[in-house]
Amino acid sequence: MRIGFKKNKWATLLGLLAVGILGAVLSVPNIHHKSLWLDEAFSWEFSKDIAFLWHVIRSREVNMAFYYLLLHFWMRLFGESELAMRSLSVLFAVCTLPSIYWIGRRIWDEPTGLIAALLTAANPYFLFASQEARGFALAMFLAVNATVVLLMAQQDNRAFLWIAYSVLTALSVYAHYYSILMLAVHGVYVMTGAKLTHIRLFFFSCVLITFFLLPIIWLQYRIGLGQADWFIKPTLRDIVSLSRVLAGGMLGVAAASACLSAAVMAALIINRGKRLGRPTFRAWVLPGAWIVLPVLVSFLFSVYIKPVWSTRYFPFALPGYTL
Amino acid sequence: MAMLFRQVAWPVGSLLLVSAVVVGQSFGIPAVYRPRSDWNAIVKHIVENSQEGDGVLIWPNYHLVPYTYVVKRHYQNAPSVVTYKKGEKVLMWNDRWYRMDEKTLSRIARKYNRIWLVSAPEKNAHPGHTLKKGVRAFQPHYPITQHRTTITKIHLINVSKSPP
Repeated sequence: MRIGFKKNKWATLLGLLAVGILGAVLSVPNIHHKSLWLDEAFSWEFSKDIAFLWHVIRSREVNMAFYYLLLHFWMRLFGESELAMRSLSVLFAVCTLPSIYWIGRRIWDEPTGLIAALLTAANPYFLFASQEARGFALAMFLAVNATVVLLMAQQDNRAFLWIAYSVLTALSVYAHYYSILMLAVHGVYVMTGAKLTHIRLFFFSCVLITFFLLPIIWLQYRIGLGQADWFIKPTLRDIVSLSRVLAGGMLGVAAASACLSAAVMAALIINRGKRLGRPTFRAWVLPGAWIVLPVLVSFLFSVYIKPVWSTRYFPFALPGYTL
Repeated sequence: MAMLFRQVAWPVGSLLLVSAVVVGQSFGIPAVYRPRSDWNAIVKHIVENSQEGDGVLIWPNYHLVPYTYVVKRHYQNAPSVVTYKKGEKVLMWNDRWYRMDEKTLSRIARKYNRIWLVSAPEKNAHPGHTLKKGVRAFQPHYPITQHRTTITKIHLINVSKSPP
């Protein structure tokens, strides 16, 4: 059910501009003054020299390789200060907001897009990603834009859009490994569309993405997983803690919205799915899968295969919550 | 969230809900602006209180990276960093965890008068490499004074006082 708000392009544009400004204003405080912490200092260490970065990628740290490469050129342009290093993340984070708006508008309506962008811009977890000289904001930017291109590709069905989707998804994995989980989200969304052409093209994209990822798969295989030994096996408490973080500290709101969303989904599946039709159901599937699958898959992987869980790794899943 | 709010039939109610969540979230924002570890304050404190013959021991050694960043950018006159082994630079690439055994301690004591021990804060550290463990290695042998910077506690060890 879509309610209220008349369409007004100027009002939407102004709203979006205001959200962008809010995101930028909230992202900037203290980034020049706050001391780099351990991981951010590693970003500096890896990125300051291109030969050294190549050595690091070959021998030690493949994760975030794309971010380190961009940071290297960014530091060459703007210097190595805390402000210069963190401003790259601010840029990517703020540029994510219009894409979140676009997704909201595409799957539901314009006000939904604006509300989702506003909730994201004022979310402490989003601000954490935008303030860190790490690859989280870049991964979020690429994952969100891969989703945008996927939605476009499903509408227009042009080959170059599917290729662009594959490139963006592969780059997001080069920005942070966890972004690979977006493939599961996109897969579920494409499957619920039940269009054979889309499903075929999505599998073709998956093959292409795998091809693009071969270099890091090979490098990671060579290096081994030794540098991931510090992770501790997560417990259910870690999921609660992550929910609190995603909800900006408001665990009650997170729980209430999860329950309500589940109720809406159940209602759509059981009673009204046929009457409302597939597009409405699919609109709920995308944000639902976006928030649930990455958390669930990484939790199960960490519990049963190898611990790789960290609460800091999920900013790319935040739009699933705000949408 | 946004899609749930759009289910509210009364647009003003929907706006009120959005505003409530935005305001609620804002309480978590100040924590984002606070530093996780204040290496600027640590290095500043050491530089302001250092003497000739001082050395800085970063333990575990990978914390040398943020220390080096601050020293290179702001405090190039900071005391030299203690090496763990003779002729071997303390590099983060060397992932062996050095034990603070008596041999290492006496080697350090010969070279320096005082050691500033900077160690991982308890909260974020690997369980085996906390400040407590770092201090415990020195405690039986040398007088230690604790210094407090903005976030992190650091320790000044007078290695010239009583050799192990």
